[in-house]
Amino acid sequence: MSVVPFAVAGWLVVWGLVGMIRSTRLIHLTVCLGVLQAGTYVLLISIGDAAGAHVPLYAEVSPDTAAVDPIVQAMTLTDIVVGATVTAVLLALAIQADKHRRTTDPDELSPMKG
Amino acid sequence: MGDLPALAIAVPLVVAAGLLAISPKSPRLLADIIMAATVAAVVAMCAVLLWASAQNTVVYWVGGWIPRHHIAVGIPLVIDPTAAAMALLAAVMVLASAIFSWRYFDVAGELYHVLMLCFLAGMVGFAFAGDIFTLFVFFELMSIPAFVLTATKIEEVEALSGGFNFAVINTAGGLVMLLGIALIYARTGTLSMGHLGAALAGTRADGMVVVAFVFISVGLFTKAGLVPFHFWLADAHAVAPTPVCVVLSGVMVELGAFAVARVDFAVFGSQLADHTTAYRVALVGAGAFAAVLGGLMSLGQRHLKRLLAQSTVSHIGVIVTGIGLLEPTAVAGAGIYLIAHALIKGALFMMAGVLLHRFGTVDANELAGRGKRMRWVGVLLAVGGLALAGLPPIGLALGTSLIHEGARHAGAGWLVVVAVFASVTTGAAVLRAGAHVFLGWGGREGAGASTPEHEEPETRGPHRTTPVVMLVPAAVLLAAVVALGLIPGLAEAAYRAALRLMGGMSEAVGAGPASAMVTTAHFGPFKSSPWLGTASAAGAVVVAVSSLGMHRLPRRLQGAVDGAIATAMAPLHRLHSGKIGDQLVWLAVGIATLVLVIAIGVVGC
Repeated sequence: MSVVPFAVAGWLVVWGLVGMIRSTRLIHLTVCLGVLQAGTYVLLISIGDAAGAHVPLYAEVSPDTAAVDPIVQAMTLTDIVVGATVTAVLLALAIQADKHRRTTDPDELSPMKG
Repeated sequence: MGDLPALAIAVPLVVAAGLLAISPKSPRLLADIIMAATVAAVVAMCAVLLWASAQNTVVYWVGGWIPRHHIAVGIPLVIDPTAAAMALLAAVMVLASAIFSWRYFDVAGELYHVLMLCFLAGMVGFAFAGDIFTLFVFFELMSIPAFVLTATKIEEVEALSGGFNFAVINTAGGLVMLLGIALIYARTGTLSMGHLGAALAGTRADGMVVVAFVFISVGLFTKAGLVPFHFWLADAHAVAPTPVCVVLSGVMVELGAFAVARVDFAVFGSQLADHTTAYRVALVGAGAFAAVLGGLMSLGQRHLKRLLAQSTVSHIGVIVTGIGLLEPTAVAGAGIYLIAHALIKGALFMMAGVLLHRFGTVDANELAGRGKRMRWVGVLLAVGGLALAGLPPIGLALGTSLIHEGARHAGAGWLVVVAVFASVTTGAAVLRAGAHVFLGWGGREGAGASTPEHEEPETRGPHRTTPVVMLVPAAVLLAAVVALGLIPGLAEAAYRAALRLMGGMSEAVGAGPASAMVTTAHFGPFKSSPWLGTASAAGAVVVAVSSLGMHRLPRRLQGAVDGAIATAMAPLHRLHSGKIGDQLVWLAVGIATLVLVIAIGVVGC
C-alpha cells in the first residue's frame, strides 16, 4: 500500500486550508475550499484501493475476484455533489457582494466586529 | 409504524418540490398554509415515533437492506427516545417560526417556504441517522438551506458576508468530519454506527482512532458552535431574518450538540469508557470556557440578535459540559437544558423580531424607552430573561440541577460555578436590554458591536401595530418551558433516555451488546433544590439593574468603570473580528489542541 496517495490527500487538504486563510478574494477562497474537498476525494478513493484489484463489476469475472471498494466511490460521488452545491451558493454570494460593494475582499466585507 | 421514519423525512422534501413547482404563481397565503400543514404533519409523526421508541428503539433500514451475515450495507435510521425528541423539537420550532412569519414578512422571498421545508427534512434526517455517512449527508442537507436563508437579504452586504462566513466555516467543519469518517471506515470497514461501535469495542485506541474521533467531533462542534468554532454563530444570527434565527439558534445548533453525544457514545463508547479522563478534560474544559466567554460577550452587546447569539454560545457550552461528564444524570440534565434553551431562545428571538418589525432596528440604544407601550412584549421578554437566568421551576433550572448532580458524582462539583455564571450573565444581558427598551432605564450603553450602518429592516419599514399572531408562538413556547419544569417524573424519564443514549446503538441494530459506558443503573433520589436557580436569577437581576444604574454615578467614576470594562473586554471583542481567515485559523488551532489533549490522555492513562 503506497503512501503517495495519502500524502497527496494530506497536501491538498493543508494547502486548501492555508489558501482559504490567506485569501483576499472571495472567489479565490471558494476555489481553495474546492481544493480542500479534492483532498477528501483523493483520501476516500485511496482507502478503497488495493493493488491489482478489479473494478467492482462482476458480469464477466467470478464473484471471488478481489475488487476495489465501491462504497468509498459512492461516498466520493456524494461528496462531489455536496461540493458542487456549496460552491454554487458561495459563488452566488460572491457575485452579489461584488455587485453591491464592488469589492470581493473578505476582510473588507466582514459583517460585524465584536 | 412501518415507513414512518422515512416518511417524516420524505414528506417535507416532496412538499417542498411541489411548492417549488407552483411557486411563481402561488399566492402567499397558499404557501403559508401548505408549509404550516406539512410541518404540523411532521410534528405528529415525530410525536408518534417518540411514543413508539419509548419501549424499544425503532430501527428502520432504508430500502429494506437489512444486514445479512452480520454485514451491514444498508442505511439504518435508529430512533431512540432522545433522537425522536430532537426531531420533535426541530419540527415544533419550525412550526412556531412558520406561524411567526405569517405576519412578520410583508413579502416572503420566493424560495422561503421551500428552503424551510428542506431545512426541516435535513434536521429530522440528521436526528434519525444511524449511519455515520448518512449523518454527514444530512449535515450538509441541513446546512445548505441554512446558508441560503441566512443570506436572504441580498441587498445588504453584511448579510452576504455573514452567510458567506457561515457557509465556509460549516463546510470546512463538515469536510473535516468527512476526513474522520474516511479514517474510521478504513479502520473498521463499516459505516453503520451500531456496527462501528461493536467493531471498535475490543480494540485499543491508537493514533488513527484518536485522529478520526477528533476530526468527527470537530465537524459536529462546528455545527454546535462550541468555542473555538463558534465565531460564525454571532455573524450569522446578526444578519439572518428573525424566523430563520429562531430555527438556527433554537434547533440547528442544539442538533449539533446532540450529534456529538450520539456519535461519541455509539461509535466510540468503549474507547471513552477506557479513557474517561481525557474525554472529560477536553469536553468539560471546552464547554466551561465557552460558557464563560459567551456570557461575557453577551453582556457587552447592544445589537439584540447578536446578544442572543452570544448567549447561545454560552448555553451550548453548558450543554457540552453536561455531555462531557459522561454521567447519565449529567447527560439527562444536558438534554432537558437543551430543550428548555431551545424554547426560550426561540421566544426571545421572536421578541427581537417584533421590535425589528415595529421600529426597524434592534440596536438597544436606538430603541431606548420606545417599548413603553408594548407591555406584553416586555413581559414575555422579562419571562424569557428570567428563564435564561435559571429561575425555578422553569425547565432550564431543572436541567442545571441535574447537570450539577452529575458533576458531583463525577467529582467536579466546582462546575456549578460555571453554569451559574452562564445563567447570570446571559439572563442579565437579556433583562438589561429589556429594561432599557421597555422601561427606559439606563443611559447610553457603552461598548458593544456596531450595527451595520444601514440595517435594512427585514420587513417593509416600521409598522404601527404588532399583530397578535406574532406574539402567540412566543407565548406558547414560554408556557411550554415553564410547564417543562413542572412535569412530574421528567427527570427520571430523561435519565432513562440518557442511559439508552449512552448504551449506543449496537444492541438495537443487532451488532452486539450495549457499550460498557454506563456504570450506575438506576436513578438515585433526586430533589431539585430551588435555591441554586433562585440565586442565579436574583444574581441576574442584580447585575442587570446595577449595570443600568451606572449612569447615575458621578461622571468620573462612571468613566473610570466604563474604561476599565472596555479595556478588559477589548481583546475579546478584537477576537470576534468577523474575518473569515481568523475563524479558519481558530478551526485549525482547535483541531490541533483537541488532538493533543486526547492523545496525551489516551497515552497517559
